[in-house]
Amino acid sequence: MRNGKSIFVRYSFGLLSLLTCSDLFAQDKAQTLHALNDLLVNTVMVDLFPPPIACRVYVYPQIAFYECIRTEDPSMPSMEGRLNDLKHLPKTPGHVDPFISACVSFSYVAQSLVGSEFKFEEWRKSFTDSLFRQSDTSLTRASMSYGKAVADTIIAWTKRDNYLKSRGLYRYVLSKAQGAWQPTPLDYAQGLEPHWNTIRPMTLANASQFSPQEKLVFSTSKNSLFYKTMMEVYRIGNTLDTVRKATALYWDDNPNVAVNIGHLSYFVHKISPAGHWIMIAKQACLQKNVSVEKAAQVYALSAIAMFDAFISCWDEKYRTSLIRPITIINRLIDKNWQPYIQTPPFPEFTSGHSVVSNACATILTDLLGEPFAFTDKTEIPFGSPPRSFHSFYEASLESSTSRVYGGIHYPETARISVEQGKAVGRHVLAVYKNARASR
Amino acid sequence: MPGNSTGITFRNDVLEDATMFMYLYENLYAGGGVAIGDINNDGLPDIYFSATRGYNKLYLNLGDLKFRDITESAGVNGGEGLKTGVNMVDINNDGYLDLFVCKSGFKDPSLRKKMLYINNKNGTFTNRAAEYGLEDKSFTIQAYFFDFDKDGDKDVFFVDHPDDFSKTMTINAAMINGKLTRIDDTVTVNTSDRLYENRNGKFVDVTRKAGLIDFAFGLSASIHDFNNDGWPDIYVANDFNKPDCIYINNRNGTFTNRMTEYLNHVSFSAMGSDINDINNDGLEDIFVVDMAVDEPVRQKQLFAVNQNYDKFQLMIDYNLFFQYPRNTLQLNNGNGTFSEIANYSGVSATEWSWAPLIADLDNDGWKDMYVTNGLKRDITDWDYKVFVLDSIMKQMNSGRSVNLNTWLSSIPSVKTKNYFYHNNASLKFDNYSDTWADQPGSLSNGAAYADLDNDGDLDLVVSNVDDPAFVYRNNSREMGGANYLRFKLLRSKVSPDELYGTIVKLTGADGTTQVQHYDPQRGFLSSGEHVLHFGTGDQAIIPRVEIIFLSGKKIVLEQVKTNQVLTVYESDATQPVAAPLKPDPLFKDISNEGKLKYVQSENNYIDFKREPLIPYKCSRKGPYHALGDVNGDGREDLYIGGAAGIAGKLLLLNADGSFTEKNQPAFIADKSYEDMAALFFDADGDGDKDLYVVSGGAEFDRGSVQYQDRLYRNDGKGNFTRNTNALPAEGYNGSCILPLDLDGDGDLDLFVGGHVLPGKFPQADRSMLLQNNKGEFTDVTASFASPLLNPGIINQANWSDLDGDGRKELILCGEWMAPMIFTWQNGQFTRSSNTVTISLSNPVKKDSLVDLDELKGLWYTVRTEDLDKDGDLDIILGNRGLNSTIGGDFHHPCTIYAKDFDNNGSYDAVLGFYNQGKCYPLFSRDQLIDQMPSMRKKFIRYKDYSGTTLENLFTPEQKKGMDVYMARCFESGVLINEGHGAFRFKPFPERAQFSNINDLVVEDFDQDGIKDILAVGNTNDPAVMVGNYDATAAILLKGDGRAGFIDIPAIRSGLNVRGEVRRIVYLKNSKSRSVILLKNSGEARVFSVK
Repeated sequence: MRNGKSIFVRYSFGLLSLLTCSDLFAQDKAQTLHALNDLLVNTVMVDLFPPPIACRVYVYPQIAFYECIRTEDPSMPSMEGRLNDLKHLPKTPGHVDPFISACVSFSYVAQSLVGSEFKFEEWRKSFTDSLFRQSDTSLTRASMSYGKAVADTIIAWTKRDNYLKSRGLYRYVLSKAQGAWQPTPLDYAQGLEPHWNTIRPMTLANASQFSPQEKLVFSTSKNSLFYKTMMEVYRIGNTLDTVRKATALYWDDNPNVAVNIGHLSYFVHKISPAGHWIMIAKQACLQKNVSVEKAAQVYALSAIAMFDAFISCWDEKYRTSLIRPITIINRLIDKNWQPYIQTPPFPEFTSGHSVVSNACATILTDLLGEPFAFTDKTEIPFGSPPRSFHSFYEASLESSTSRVYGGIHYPETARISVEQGKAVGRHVLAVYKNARASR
Repeated sequence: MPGNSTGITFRNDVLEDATMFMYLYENLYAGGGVAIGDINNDGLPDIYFSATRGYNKLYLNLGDLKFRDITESAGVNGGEGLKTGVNMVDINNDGYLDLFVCKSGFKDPSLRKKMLYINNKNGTFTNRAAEYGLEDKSFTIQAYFFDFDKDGDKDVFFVDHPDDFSKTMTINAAMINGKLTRIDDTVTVNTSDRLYENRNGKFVDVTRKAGLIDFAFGLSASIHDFNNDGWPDIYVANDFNKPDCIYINNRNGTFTNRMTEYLNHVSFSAMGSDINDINNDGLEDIFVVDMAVDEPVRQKQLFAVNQNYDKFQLMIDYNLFFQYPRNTLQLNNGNGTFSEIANYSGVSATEWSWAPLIADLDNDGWKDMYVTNGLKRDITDWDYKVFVLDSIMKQMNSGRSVNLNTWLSSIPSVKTKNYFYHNNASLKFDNYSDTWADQPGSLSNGAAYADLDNDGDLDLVVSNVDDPAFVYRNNSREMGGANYLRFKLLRSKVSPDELYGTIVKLTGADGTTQVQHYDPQRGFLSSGEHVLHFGTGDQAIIPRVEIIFLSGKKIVLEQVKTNQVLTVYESDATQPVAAPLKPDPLFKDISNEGKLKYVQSENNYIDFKREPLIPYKCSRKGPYHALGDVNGDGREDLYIGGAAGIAGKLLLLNADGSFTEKNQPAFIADKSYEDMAALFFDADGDGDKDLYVVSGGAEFDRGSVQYQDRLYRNDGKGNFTRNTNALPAEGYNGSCILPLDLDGDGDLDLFVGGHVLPGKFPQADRSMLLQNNKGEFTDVTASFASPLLNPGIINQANWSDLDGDGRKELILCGEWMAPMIFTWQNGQFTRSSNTVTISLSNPVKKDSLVDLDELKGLWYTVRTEDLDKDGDLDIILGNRGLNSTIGGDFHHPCTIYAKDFDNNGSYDAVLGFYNQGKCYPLFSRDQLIDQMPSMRKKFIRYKDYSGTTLENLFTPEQKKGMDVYMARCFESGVLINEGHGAFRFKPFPERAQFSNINDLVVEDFDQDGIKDILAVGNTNDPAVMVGNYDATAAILLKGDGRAGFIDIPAIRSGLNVRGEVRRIVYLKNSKSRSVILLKNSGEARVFSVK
């Protein structure tokens, strides 16, 4: 197993270290928000949430934090009225420290969504204990109480997003039609989240709002676009050089890669695509040394854009149910052909990573500017060295191409998906800025 | 026995280093083998151990269970490389046993050269593998010597495996001639199983010519003549995706894999195997071990394969067959098929198992079992493989170095006890692991039995990883009485080579028989003593002993004294083996005579996609049928209902006994319905048979119009039109129909049973009582029969006078409920109060009188008949049977907690069953989380879930208002009417409990004046976790006139059927009797009855 070999790859940097005391009591408030996001991304990873659900866990705590902290900055409007169904956020009681409220609020919302609740309970206890030791107790209590109230409203809002109800819907029923998606090795898992389009979006009017007009239609005719783009995946896969391999692995971001050596099976966890971009947002904020308010805005809008991107993408995936390259290439061209990275368990069109990354890059470019040279160290624990980019779009386009190198997406899909992602991103910005949405 | 007493100090210490550890060679902990045999012909069996990474050891038996290590002087240390299976076999027929050593593991082929140590007859050996052509370098687990071409010498079969273990679970498919076909790897050099033909002492690889090239991860084989043609066939137990094989010897140097003709399912991770007769019916049975765990906490923590429905289906689609991760005990039916009964017999889970040995360990005449188990690293521990290993890898990626030992020691390691099973002579085995020996935990692999001290009982030698080998002295003889008889089977005094495959059959004074074939190569990596051993219990003289040689000759000995070792020479055999008597069974398969051609197709609806945690599908219960003369020609015509999307069919019976389909546009128009029970009756009083078809199938949403029952009017000539106004509008998922004239107006009223509430298993949909007013039906349930509004998931109803008062009672049977009896009095149906006496065996054997309502089961069919001839009707009931992963008994009910536990609009039904005294949920942590995301918070790690009882799965708050369903009885049987509302439950015999019973007919089939029962069963409805019910498609139960029955095996009844038989159509006229067996997803079979 190619992925299995990463056991032996070693690098000498650590990034996703668990929080230490010095993180906790950092003077810099922005640092605390970054630390909270480290904790969130780590927890989501060990709790093994699949990509769309992982993004749902990321987004709500960011909004809670944003709504508490934005009161310091009149240029930051409330999301209430902008995001679907978000209502009845409590008014600031006045005498509070928005930062304390924001942190507390984030921790409660995150706790409600993750599996390992104790991580946020412990974090909050540690955070508030230190506050009680060193500051005005009544202000702290009021701030905590307000943060909790915001969290309660946000948590109630999460419960109306149809997530829980969607757990009771039909699991994906396979189609035997030629060109229909089939489960892929190694686990041959059933189709993941076939009803994600029933989840309430943040800004979209409906899940299909940015359904690409251009489609990739299955065909076995050698002159068809599909056949040609399939052959392109095959050709690229057969001629991968080390640079492309590294790119594919860099953006693999598969939360659950199954590895199998006989009975020795195991699972390798990487942060999901959205988690990777949360970490990119974090590094960009750190590099620019932005205020906690600005960082909150960056995180919130990034997560919102990616959340809607997943809904838009998954809507497309299960509407088209397109077969993955490994399945069709094995059937038609080469029975032994294997993609360089493992194919995740859902249909091919459109590419989740492409849509999500480009939605997020659109936000980051708007909020942090362009060009924005940065070095991403997120992937060190997963065996890939740091990687430098000149702009967010450079990174998001590379993440899209990487899926073709990895052998899990067709070039045509990648191209169409990039546009889908950008459209979602632009729409989110427009809604946030109260401008009319446009395609 | 301690090593300092026996002198056997061998330990298989498996070194782990950078050149060889588990992640480089997955079978590293498969351990070493044991070969036993008398190498110096001093009458004492000696022992040879293979060492995985160290050196092999040869111990000379000095008598009195003392041994001396002579490895060095004998020159047989096995050399370098990773040693696997060992044999003692006299390869050159010089009367001295030689040693054979297999190797695997290392990539370097020179380290895999097999070794053949030829016995120099002076205590030394010389490796002459190259000379003999046996220096094969394939990755071999074990060698099996046998004479496949019957030319009088020993050929050899090697069980091999590919070296790339990343290919164990992949399923490659390609389009071939427009059809998706599974593709196997074609690189099979050194990895495919191998067959070498012995040509005058030189072995030649004939694998390809023999048709034995494969790409499977084999772990053992058993040589056995499966088709009784006198030619040895090969069973190969394959680990992983590839199913086991039964290679039938074509008698021309080639073999054909016919496994699927013999078996209905196999073990997923098949390891060791043995073949022997467990029930003394003269037919040898197959036992293959897997890695299922019975201890409840470890069972959840180590669960081997989290098989999802789609993948399981994919494997079936690509001919990888039905494979389940548990041991399989294939009971030989003698008709070319086997029934898998490991669950029934209690031997399905013995931990990570290696060697199964079937032998009579207590000399009582019934063969017991010994199973070795243990893997040094619990690599299937879910927390380890999902969380721990990943975090180690991240540490390494982040630059922290992790040394190999630290890593390996992070893998849980538990030494478990091996299993002793005592055969209790009724197809069940009792766990004697703590009774027969004081066993420590161990990591045991190869094992072999032999009478080491020549006292007439079988001692055991077991190879252990990281511990000294076990030598168990058997004290049976010392403890008393039981006799034995042992055989050495040789060609002749001049040429004393051993004749593997020779069959010895003992017939006792009471007519009981024992059969064994001689083959020392059994279990795993090992070969046992070179004597065939029988325990004979209290029989000191065996009236008849038959020795049947592969050559087709036999020797018969009479009045043989026990407690001796007989040496028998084939050269003394003169009698030819008689051809078996051609059976003349009661039932004769006449399906090919063309009287009826009917194939049922089931629509592909997957209940588990809507309700992932239910134990079985409810949508594939058909076909149902109705019998009635529709055209007035005096012959009973047949309606067979269709699954959703497939129209029902009307088949007219012709004078010659054949059926002709009559086109019915009305049925075709209604094909979208799934037909459940149907009834021909005169609904409108015009003198002809109309047709009522119950709609059901559970695949539509609750209340759907697809559940509307249908009434078709007959024009008197057998043409049907739907009368859409005659029935009340309803959307109930129905199942059965029963005519009954309640109001005494001469026309028939109807009871229509409701089945499961769609999407809300196991809640029941409504049942209906329909009053007939001149062909118009009204739902009068609420007015006259409120207890019948929702009595349960009803499968069948019956209308019989049970109390002899001249009025009939309504009997209902169904799932997760007790049989119910309702009396019709004063214009109302009332549930009657009844008792039942059941005999309990657990914890103590006693009779218990309980309310009939306690007899909750999964009842599929109900009939009545006076079986004990006491003048009242007894109730005959089909149930789910006792041969399944899930089950229960009176004190240990299979239990379902059901409620919308997470308030998301979907009903969560969680099934639990008892294991070692507590009730545990069936499904895995991940499956629960998929249905109820909040479980992720409760069970952060797998270990938090492992060992959680059903009771503790939910908080007291969550459990408030939940529905609890139970099944306490899984046996099919008879409720004997004892009068005054009292019954006694008498279960059917063993074979009738091997599967569920879908339908039964009570009739004096053998015309001895006593009613018999024909019962049909099997279903592929269960969840993958549970596994198909496939062990009994049809069985004849011969009545004894006292409501007792004898189960007649198919080979005697003639009921040779496989598949899911749902219904019996019994046709009887003055001239002939016949039965049609209607299958789900298969072709109907027709049998004449003598």
